[in-house]
Amino acid sequence: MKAKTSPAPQKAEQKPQKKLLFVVIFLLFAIGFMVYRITGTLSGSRTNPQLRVSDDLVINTPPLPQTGDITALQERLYKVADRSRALATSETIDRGEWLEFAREAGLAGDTLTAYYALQVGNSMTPNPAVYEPLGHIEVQLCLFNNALGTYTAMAQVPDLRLASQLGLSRAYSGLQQNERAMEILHSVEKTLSPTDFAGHMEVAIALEEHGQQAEAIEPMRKAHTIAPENSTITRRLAFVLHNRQQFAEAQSLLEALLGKEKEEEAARTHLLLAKLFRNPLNTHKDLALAESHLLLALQVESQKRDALKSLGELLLEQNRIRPALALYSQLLILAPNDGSLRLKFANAYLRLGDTANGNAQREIAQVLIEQERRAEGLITLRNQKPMEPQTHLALGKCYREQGKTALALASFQTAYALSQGGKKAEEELKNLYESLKVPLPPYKEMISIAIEPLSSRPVKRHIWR
Amino acid sequence: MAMKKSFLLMGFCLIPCLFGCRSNPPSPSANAPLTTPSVRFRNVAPEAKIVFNRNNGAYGKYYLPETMGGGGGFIDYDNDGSLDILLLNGAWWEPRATNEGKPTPALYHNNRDGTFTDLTKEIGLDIFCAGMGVAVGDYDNDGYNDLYITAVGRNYLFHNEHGKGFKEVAQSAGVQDKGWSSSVGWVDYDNDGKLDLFVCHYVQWTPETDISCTAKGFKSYCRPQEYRGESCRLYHNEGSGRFRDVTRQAGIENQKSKALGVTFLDTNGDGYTDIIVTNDMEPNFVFLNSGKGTFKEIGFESGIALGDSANARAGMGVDVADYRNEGIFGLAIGNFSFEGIGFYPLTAKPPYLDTSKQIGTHAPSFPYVTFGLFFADFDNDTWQDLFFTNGHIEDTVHKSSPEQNYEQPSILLKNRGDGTFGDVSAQAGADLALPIVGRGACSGDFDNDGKLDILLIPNRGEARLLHNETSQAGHWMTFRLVGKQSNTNGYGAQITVEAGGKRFRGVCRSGSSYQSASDARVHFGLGDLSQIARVSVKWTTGKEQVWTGLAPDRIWQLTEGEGEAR
Repeated sequence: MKAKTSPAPQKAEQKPQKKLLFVVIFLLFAIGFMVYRITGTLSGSRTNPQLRVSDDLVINTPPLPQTGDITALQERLYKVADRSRALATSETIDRGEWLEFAREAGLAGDTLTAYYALQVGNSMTPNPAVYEPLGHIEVQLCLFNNALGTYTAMAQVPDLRLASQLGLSRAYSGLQQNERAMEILHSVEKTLSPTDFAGHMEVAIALEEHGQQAEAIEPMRKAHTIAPENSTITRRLAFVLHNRQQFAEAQSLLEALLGKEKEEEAARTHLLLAKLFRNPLNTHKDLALAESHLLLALQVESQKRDALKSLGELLLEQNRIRPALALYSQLLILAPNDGSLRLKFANAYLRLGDTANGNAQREIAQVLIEQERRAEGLITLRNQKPMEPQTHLALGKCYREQGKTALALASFQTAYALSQGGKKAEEELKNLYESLKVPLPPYKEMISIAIEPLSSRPVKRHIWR
Repeated sequence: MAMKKSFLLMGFCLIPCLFGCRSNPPSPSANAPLTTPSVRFRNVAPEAKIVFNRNNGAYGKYYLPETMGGGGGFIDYDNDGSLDILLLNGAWWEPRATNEGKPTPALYHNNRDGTFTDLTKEIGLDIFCAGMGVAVGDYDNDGYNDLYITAVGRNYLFHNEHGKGFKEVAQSAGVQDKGWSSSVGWVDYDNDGKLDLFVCHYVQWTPETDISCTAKGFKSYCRPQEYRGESCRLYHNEGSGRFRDVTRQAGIENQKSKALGVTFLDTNGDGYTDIIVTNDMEPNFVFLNSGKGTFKEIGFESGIALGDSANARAGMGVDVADYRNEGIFGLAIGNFSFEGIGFYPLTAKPPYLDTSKQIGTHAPSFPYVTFGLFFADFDNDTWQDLFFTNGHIEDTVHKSSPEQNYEQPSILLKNRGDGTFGDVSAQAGADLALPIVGRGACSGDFDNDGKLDILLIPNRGEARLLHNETSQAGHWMTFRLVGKQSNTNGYGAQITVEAGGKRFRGVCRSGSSYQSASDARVHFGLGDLSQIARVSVKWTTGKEQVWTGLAPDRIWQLTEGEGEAR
């Protein structure tokens, strides 16, 4: 009877006639499918003639692992490097310009340049509005002691108290002073006004980040009570409740959301409902319903990897190997470097008795998985001692070998910041930038401007927005 | 672009439908009712006078060994035909070690009247160590079972002095080892008739190098990822009571290993025993025996290294059995909560695929942290059932995860006979399902009534002896092998019982489960089959020996080279 409660597909937005035709065709397919599923589930005697796949079914061979496309990153970094040189050699120091530039650099994924640019922009007369992004970046670069200083200064500004306390908690957590971090969160929670939606929400998120899902429930409930129509908090609450095995409440929260939220957000709700109905601990586990929700999520967002992955697992769980194989072959087009997907694809072949293809794919998977495991090991080391530059360097090298350039850049930049411009980190950054054919930003010049603004250069003040 | 997107969208959404939208599990009998008789167990430890409180040494430091438990085993040390019981204990760590009484292992002698007598001191087993695992085997082929006990810091080899007591000889034998050992087993890997020793090692830990960890805001035991691994060790039996460490030359050396379980099986039928090792958060190993004194690690190629999602799981207890009575052994591996047991039919050629979700072993194990695990035909219906004992590693887990508990119930999965399993724990008696901090577990028929009993050694608290009180169990046969050219225990020998046109296969071996030693005698449930056509044993020498006319419902001794069974 569960199938009866299955939600209807979201209505498509009005689009030009040609597009509308496709949407209508698709909806017809989807509705037909839903009717088929529901009647089949209810009758319990469904037959599947379509299971008899013809022998000439061809599964497209997915692409081999690929080096990630770095063109976009190259372009972004080039712009940042170019502009940083221009600013560093400018005759005047325009604080506002540096601060704007910091924002651009951050968005471009160049955290280190953003950090130095913020420092330049904030030198001489500290600007309270800079504290938050500065502290955030300091935590990102594992400069936790600096972050403590920044957030402590920020705490003096009455309007920024909540954000500063959350920041302090993150900084203490980075310093592995978890008890202190938790104390701060608890004290913040007590001071929140019952109507402070953002406050409860942020405390809940911070508690979740600390792995305190049980404790996050209360502020989440409060935030949800204040703004029950807010789909983000509802989903977060449902997710945590699901993890706490409070399935019924999670289900009812999610089902209440359906039909009320924007189409692009509905995919997330369907995905969570699918997770809920797939959970072996849920006494109302219902794989048919889980599948329906996954298909509905895919209607909204056809390339939603989480939904596709989940659907693949569900198909394998039910021994529906051929559809699983077809799905994984498509999914690997989206994520050719995913070792886990590659292994599942290989295993699907093997379950069908195709050892040649299965073993060929397993070999590729093995290489990818070994790389992933090496990175995981280094991440563990990094988490143990986050302030040791050499671990970040090793992780950066590992990411480079995997073709994960953006992650490698972040690791090298953290190593550079932690080692205060250490030679090894600088060397790695130079190599990386060289390989990208992008000039290295003038970090040292930026530092010197931040520490001691050139007295000969006029300083232009600006208000940070 | 929009058109392309629409096609893609439709393509993805229709993929599952193109091939059918069946959502029921593949096995038609997966939900079939379980047949009687229902298996029942009762804890008889108090009336059997087994009063053993395992001390895990915990006093607030959260040292990792405190939570890894210890094992125990069944051993007939005096060859009186009845199984005695060995239970390992934990240790206090400095400085508490000097202030408190020192816990020791315990050996309970079977009085053959349902009671046991503690003879630990009398026979020389009253040592103080952070005991982990135990293996029972006659390494010098003198006809008496010796003991190898693993611990944190060093290990112990107790030579059996003809049933009168034990003498610790690890150092002179060259197997004192160091570091942190866990499960262990005797195996004659080169078929030279002498038992070699395979010792699992966990992580590099000492009280001095202990890391302080917290989980979800509470002081906690560290994850294995926080420590470096330690390679397992292989000791070759050189004869004359001496062993040689051949770890490196045999291809066993692997510092990534964080091994907690080991089982032995000739997976490719080449006559040489292979070694399957479970690792905690590292890929599991399959050491394929070349037959030339070396092994090749093929964990990944075999398919058992990782879980379904290419993740290394928390591999702990492990066992193998011919669960379909078709000659294809099933490999079961206990994992952490929310990982579920891994179950791999060891088909003719690897890679082996995890079928746990399809055959009904995944869901019942999913909420639990599974340590001790083994197959046994508890109701003698010819089908190997699966038992596992569970317990979380965090004593405070209920604070951070109220739905989880430190103490967890044990689970008994009954083999339905069609390749699937069903959870019968609720019907197996309150003593089986009682939540404990499950760690060591093994099986053995301590009262020789033909029904396999269970010994449970929790991380802390009372050891439990679960007597099998299944009514209307089927016929059975148990075999004690005695090797002559092969090792005296007959470890590695394959036994086949033919009855009623069916073949039932077993392997005599050490190892399996978690840090524990099950009864080395090989037990077969026969259901309603009372006429046994033939019993054959393929010894590790490669020779096969056949016996006919053996009656069911008794224990037989089969001696290599002797035509008459006793």
